[in-house]
Amino acid sequence: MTQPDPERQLERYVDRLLRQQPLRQAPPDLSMRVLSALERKAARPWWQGSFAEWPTWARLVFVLASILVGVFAVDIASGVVDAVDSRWSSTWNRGHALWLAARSTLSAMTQVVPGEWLYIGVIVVGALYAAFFAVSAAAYRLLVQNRQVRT
Amino acid sequence: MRTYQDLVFTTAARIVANDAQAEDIAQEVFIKAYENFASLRDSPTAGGWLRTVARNLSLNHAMRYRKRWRFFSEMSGADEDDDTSFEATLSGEQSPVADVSDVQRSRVIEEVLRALPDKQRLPLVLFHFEDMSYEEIAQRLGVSLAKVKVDIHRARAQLARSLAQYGITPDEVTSP
Repeated sequence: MTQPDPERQLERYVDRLLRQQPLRQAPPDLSMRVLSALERKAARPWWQGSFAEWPTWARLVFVLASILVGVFAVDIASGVVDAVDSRWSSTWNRGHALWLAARSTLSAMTQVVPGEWLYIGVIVVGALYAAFFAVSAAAYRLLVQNRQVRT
Repeated sequence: MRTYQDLVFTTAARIVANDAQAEDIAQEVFIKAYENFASLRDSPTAGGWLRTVARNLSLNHAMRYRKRWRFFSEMSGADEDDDTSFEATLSGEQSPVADVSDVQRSRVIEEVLRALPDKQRLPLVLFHFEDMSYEEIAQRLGVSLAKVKVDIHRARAQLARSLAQYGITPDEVTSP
């Protein structure tokens, strides 16, 4: 006689156990909550509802107004782009100069500061980063998970 | 609504494992039902519709929450424990904490189920209560098929172990 597969046995056991579970009782005030939420929803003005529930005339006006605003915005934007275009080259030059300054500062630092110090700095920053995650995880478990278990 | 409120609430509560959130989800389900009242009023499948909406809303809720906290909640190694002790549960020595009545037993099972980690409870509930296949569960939860199978197996083993502590063992569960 072959030995029954423990995994199948476990599956059958849990399945039987869970399927025998009765439904849980909903809170008695659930229907009242639903009705009052529906009343609140019905009392809301139409513009606070979803776009699909707006009256047809309001949807049409909204779409037309959006098109007008879009056209107007494109018109304004093209004017602004023209105005900015003339200044763009000077802005680019300034940005490029900043990049060169940052690069030369970094290269000077690597020449002046010993390599070991840089490695130590990277390790310290990494350790601080890991500590930050550890503290966050501990705080999450303490403040969020425990509260969920209690509720 | 009274006919289905227990069904909807239970479906949500088992997925999100939090009564207050389950109540909010049940409320949302019934509001959607009222919006579709014309088509649902005489429908023989209204119960199925409500259950499906409850399941989807609950899963959306659980997945949103899970994504937000996945890193922290999965740092715990608590669910990486052994999964070999079901055979011990079947045959071995248990020391029941107390004998439990049917009502108490149902409550204990719900509590033990709720105490499982999300990543084990969700697939277990979807498989055994919602009749979803492993493939459907993997697709819905966005994880691999192998992970679903492992998580469900671990969840069953953990459930059996925890229940054994309350004196609920395979011998004690009768066939329907």
